[in-house]
Amino acid sequence: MGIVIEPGMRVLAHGVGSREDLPIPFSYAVTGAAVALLVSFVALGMLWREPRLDPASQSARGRPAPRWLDRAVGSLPFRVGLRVLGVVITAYVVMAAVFGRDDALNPTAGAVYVLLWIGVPLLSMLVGPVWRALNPIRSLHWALSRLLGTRPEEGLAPLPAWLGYWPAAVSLLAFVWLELVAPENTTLPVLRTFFAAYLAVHLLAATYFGSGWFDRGDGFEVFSTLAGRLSPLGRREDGVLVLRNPLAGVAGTPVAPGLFAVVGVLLGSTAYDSFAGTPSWVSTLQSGPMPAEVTGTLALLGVVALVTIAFAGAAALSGRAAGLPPMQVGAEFAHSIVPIVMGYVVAHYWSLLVLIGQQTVIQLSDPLGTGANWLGTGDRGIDATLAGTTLTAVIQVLAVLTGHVLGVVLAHDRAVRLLPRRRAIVGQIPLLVLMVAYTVGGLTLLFAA
Amino acid sequence: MRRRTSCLLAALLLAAVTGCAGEGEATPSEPSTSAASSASSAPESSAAASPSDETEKVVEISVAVTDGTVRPKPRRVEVDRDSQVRLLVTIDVDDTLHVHGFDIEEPLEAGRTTTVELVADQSGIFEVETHESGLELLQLEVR
Repeated sequence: MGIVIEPGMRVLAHGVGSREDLPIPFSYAVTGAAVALLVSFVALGMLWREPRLDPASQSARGRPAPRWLDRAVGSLPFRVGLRVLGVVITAYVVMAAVFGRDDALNPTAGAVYVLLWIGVPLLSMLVGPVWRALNPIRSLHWALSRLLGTRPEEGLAPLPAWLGYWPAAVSLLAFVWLELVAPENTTLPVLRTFFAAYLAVHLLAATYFGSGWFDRGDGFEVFSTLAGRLSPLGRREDGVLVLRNPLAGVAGTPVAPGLFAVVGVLLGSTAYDSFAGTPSWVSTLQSGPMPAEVTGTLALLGVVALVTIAFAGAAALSGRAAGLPPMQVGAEFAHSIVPIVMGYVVAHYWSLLVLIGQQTVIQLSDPLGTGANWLGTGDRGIDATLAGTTLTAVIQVLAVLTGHVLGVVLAHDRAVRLLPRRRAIVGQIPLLVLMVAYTVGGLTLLFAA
Repeated sequence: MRRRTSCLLAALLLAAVTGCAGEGEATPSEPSTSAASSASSAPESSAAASPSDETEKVVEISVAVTDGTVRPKPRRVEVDRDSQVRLLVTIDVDDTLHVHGFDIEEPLEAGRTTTVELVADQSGIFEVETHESGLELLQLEVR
């Protein structure tokens, strides 16, 4: 299969990742790094001494949203409507993936790598965990449970607590491998195979463990839900829809094993993607002794391991300074890396989301390659204003810095809540150094890769 | 400065050969790494252009593939936005050239030099690769 090419004919090739951003100016990188360093250590001495983001505390509870809004988004028609919408959108893309032509005009790759992978988490950051409401596998599992007369929440066995977020970390690792390493990963047979396997694994796991599996095992849902914790809209423990400080949302992330691995996969894979495009790395892949996929796989695993182990190490040092077990410290502080991940994801994917996101919406109008314009978007052009060079560079540095500042504040608040008073400052230092390293590393990649 | 001049000369020579031969028999024995810009190297119908004319800038980039090895090694070639870019690709097997972002696909014939021209009218970094063998030849850095 492939594109028929006549001499001189110009066709679009598989369009995802066809362009990379220019490096950010050196002055931006240096300024960003300096600000990150300064903020970190000023925060250490000047921020509050009493925890303010404890989900149970008054200050972190947020203000109730307008009643009508709460009632509307909590209503059965709205929730069912979102489920139906999720299934319809998915079915539409599956139609393109199964019956569409396997060429660059097919919207499937853009729908997966841009709209689902980047668009959904960023949307979640604004309005809350949307994939939980849309997730078609969750809906399918619900429907199957109803058919069999069982309750969706109940599986054959409970999900062991020690597993925590580890299944999601594995699920995400599989997807980022597809995104960044797998050969031919924008072609339909590869995408169909991956998502058929994804559906089978998660449907079976949810049948066995109950629908709680999706909260801990479905990579897309966990990513969206983590991003959604940064939304100013959220539900309190008592179920009331509130407008809240996004920091309080992140501080309310359940403490569970493996969360730091999820964060490590997200941060490490994005970092890998940054340097994987450099000519020197491409040369290494092309002329190395091993097949490019093997080298790429090892490098991806290596970067993810490096980022994750660095966090575990910093947590262990913090724990030792504060007299707490390292595993507990790791689980308690993993949430503070979430804003850093999101900042870096925004920085890395911003222009891709703007450009290929629009391209995908245009292509979705003609899912079967028949020249149709079903959605009326088919004749639109791509507006590159939001992806301009200077604007992109500014957004990249601001996103990374904002993520860093939020991360530092979150870690500080958890430290004063968790660590013995006199050791709270000293206990923060290893994590603070790690965050500075992540941020300076991220800026370096944006500048040099 | 000297290097610049010799690059320019190399580009001129190459342009003279390939410009007349089109997709023809030009097979440079030593792949040139020239990335020079020059007004007078634009071959067709530009005899009247003055050397200082900005719009007539042509950046010429040559690359050769033998036994799956890219020479010169994959690298980033910086070009100014809106400049004319001419790619000269020589390869030892039939393949397809693909310039990402500019949506250019051009068949490559074994043993021949294929010339592709484009106007670098969008900024960013764009891969230039072969489709069948999946080799990255170079990256265009347009700013």
